Amino acid sequence: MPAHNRKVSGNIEWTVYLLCMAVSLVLLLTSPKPGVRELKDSTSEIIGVAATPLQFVRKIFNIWLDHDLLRKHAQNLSTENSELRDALIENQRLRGMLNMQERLPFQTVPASVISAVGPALGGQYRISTGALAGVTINSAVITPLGLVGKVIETTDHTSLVQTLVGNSYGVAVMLERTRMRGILRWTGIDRWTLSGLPTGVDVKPGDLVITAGTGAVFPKGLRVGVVTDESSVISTYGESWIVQPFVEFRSVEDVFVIISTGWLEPNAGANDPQIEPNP
Amino acid sequence: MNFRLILVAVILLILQAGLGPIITLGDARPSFLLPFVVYVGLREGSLWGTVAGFVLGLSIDSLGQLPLGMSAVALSTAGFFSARLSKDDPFRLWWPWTVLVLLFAILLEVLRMLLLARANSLPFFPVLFSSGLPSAAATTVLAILWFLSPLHSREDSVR
Repeated sequence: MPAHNRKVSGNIEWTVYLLCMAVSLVLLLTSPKPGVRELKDSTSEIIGVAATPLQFVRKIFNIWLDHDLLRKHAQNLSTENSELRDALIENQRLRGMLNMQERLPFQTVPASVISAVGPALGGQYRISTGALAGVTINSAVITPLGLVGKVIETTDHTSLVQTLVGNSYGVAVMLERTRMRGILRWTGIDRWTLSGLPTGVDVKPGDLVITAGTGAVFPKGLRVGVVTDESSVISTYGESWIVQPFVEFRSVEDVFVIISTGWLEPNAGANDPQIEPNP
Repeated sequence: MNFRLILVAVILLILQAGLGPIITLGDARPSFLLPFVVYVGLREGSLWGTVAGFVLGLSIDSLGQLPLGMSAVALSTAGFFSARLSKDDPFRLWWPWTVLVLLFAILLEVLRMLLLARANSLPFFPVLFSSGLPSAAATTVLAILWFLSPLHSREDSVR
């Protein structure tokens, strides 16, 4: 028999066999005679056992798909978590500011820091409020942590704030415990000194430094910082003590501008002699 | 497939249906049809072996207590693969023929015992060993007798 005919004959034989098997199995599995249901169960079990490797492969494939899915999910959750963490920090900051605004005896307007320039980006801020909101030059700028600086320039909608970093002015302050007044100055990178105190004054580490309110710019009682060391240093301004401000000037995002101190005479002290600027 | 084979098939079918339940050796019940189907497969080829197995299987199922299709599955498979598995003149020697019949007899009995065990909530392997394998052995003995009988002629080997 030629090879082609043999192949055709083989195909016919297989077709007939498979057809007979199919008919037989259909008849068998649809038979109402007893035992067929059990036979079906057996067949299912046998097929199940035979298909176990396939199920294993499918399970691995599903694990793989699940892994990809979970990884994407984890990435999304990580992003969401990061956003929530940012929101939490912002929420805490804003709550602090809200509490402060309610607590302060001054009239303030909130503002956000738009940009920062100056010594390591903590020197001067451009903030999002200006003259139309009542901000004037020399308005004090604070955060819930303490004093930031003062406004040195305004436009209708923005203001420029000079912080305590790199400032050319001294701040009239006093020690909360002893009520002794002095001048706080920026004397170098991350260094502020308190000078002008009488000789032999009682200064201790941890003494709270607050504004004295004697310079007609900053209202009295604003938190500024703490004395860090009991021993004094000799600076250009005489005997001085190192003070660490409460505000981290490089990370300020939102501030309050004091537009009214509530003083009966707003211009009181305006003509007083100003504290001499840094040389 | 010639008339003589059809006649033998009908006779065997009647024998299986009529005497099958009576002729038992202990729990063993030999199959008359299986050796014939293997014979047809070897003599006439896979196609006729399959057809013979299918027709005889359906017939004996419809006459007996087994579910329709069960014997057809086993006998069709026996008829088809007996021709495929055999090499080089299986009729000349007794043992290829015997091995083939034994193989398919075991297949048939496994199916039958599986059904029987399941239907009666019996353990499969004890039933297979006590009844199925002896039946397969009895069927194989029948096949050997067939080989030695005048029904099997040596001319069959010259195809």
